[in-house]
Amino acid sequence: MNSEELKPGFQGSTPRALLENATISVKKEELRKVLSQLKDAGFDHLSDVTCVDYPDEREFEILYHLWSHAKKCRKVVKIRLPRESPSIESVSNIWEGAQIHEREICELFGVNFEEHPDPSPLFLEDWKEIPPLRKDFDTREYVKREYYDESSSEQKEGGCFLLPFGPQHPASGHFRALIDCAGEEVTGLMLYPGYLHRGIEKLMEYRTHEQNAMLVDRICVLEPYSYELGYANVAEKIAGVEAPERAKFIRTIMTELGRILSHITWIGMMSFALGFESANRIAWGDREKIIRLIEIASGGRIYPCHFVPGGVRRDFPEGFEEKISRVLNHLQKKLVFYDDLFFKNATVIKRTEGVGVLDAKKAVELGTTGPNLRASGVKSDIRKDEPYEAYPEVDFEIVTQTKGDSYARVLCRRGEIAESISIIKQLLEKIPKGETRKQLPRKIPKRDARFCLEAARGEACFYMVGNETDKPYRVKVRGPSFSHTLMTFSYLAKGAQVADIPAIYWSLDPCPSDMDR
Amino acid sequence: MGIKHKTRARSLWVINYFTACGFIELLPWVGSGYDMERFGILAKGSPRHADVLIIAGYVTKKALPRIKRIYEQMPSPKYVLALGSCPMTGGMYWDSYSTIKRIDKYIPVDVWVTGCPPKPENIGHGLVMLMKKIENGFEGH
Repeated sequence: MNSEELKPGFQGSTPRALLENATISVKKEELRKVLSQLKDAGFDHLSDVTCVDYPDEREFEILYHLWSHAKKCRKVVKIRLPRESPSIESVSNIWEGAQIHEREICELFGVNFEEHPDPSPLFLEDWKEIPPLRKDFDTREYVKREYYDESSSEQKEGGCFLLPFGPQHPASGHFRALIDCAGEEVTGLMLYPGYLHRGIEKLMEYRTHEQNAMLVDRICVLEPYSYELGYANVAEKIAGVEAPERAKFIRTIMTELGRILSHITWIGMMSFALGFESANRIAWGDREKIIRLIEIASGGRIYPCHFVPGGVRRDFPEGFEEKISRVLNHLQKKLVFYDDLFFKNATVIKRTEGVGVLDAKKAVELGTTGPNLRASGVKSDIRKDEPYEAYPEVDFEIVTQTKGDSYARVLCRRGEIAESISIIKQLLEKIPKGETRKQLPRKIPKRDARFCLEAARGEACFYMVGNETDKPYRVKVRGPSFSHTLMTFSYLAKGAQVADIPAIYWSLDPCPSDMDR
Repeated sequence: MGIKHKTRARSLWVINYFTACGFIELLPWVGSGYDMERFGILAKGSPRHADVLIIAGYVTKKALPRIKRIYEQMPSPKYVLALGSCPMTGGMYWDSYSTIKRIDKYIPVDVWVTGCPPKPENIGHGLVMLMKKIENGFEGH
């Protein structure tokens, strides 16, 4: 697969040079013009905005990663800014969803975005140091001064503590939302994330590949496998090494198990948010069965640390394939039971049907991906569009719905559980024998690579820059929940009833720890 | 010890505020597999109804004032359980600019449970240890 290659058939008046190159460097003045031309030419999805700091060259590099849902191809627009007074025009008037990525860069790198609607800090509170993801900020030196020095003063109290929705709320994740309402109708929603921000991207710059394989697990607690897979793949891509065939199969099987795990956990969360506790209890019971499988394969229950760049840490133990088949058969039978219990339950339908309707155009505009986008009728799945790992070997359907409401998102996830079961069954029949791990060269070459995959929640991407050392120079993680919570949720909440907020929120299946990183 | 401590130990109500990834291994305790209600442990939405605060995993600088505020709102006697390596030492995030390294610098902790995250069995062991401690006359904070 070569995603960088441009597929023919683009329409419009966009200059050919813009369309032919997978990577374009532009000047500051032309940025908006180029990006809006590309959007008109079919690159409707702004996947991510990344910033890389190059203090030696006294420059910041900002990268706009685009994707075309219609043509299934990617494009990168690069721009260099002087490090002294980094300032660039905001592109939030082209893609509404860009504003949240720009706000993050503004906070973590100190880049000023002109005409940005809301450049206030996102993750950190009362931050007085230089922006933490700049290269001249040394987190270890800071930590020594701030936390380990006994003479330093105790942390001062933060701001006020209002809690209409979160951070302490049974149906919210760990973030705070202030809901503005007139009677029962929500008129505005202000979101304050950052309660789980650990600065994982900064920590990765201080660790080698093997150490980072442990750290990427912790990005999303509900579905660690996809992130391990993303990191392993981007590290292999930058080193130019391909993992052995058997390792690819093992990784795909385990990632699909992780997807089922995540969706079943979501059944529990969603039913809890709807006040339907019996489905919650039953879902947690089934989740335990998959967790035990993961424990047998890797040794870890929640954080398996199973995939490393170059392959997998452990091959399947003896007789593991039968154990997977047994659990899958159980789940297949259980899905029919879940249909009666949850998916076709009159209460669930009443609480979710017609609630939080997201049309396809707006969904793409806001940067929505994964099941939430497919529920709005957009047939987009990176497993099919840019097949990676062992996905070219399997035959599966992209599950879509048309209505785009909360119930469509519920049904979409139900369909995906069934598809994942069938994918694993096909892979178990075809799994080859052989080695499971290749050694990667210790030094990471001086170039960049990007890898995108379909996590259970949507598009997860890793961007890595090497610098001829054994540690990555910069890693950027694009988690799906970042756009889902901060853009899609706040869009859907406006105009909804207060009682529907938990139903809308959980129908998007966000993961706060993935959002904050 | 007396009847007061025996009854207290058998009706620990936990505040429904799970800070981070440790919560994922607490949730099996809510389900029927482990079933914490047989120990008299119940999840509560309001801090004013709760006896036990569970620090489940890493605490960020931004979350700390909120945790302190919740702790202050809880009526005495109250107990604190810290789950995972991160609240003790910083754990995986020992060099992160945004997380707290030792939670007992800010609020008192009665039981520590190690792990990243701890297994449900270990969490149960921690809860039973806290119950034994109370039965033996521990007055809490």
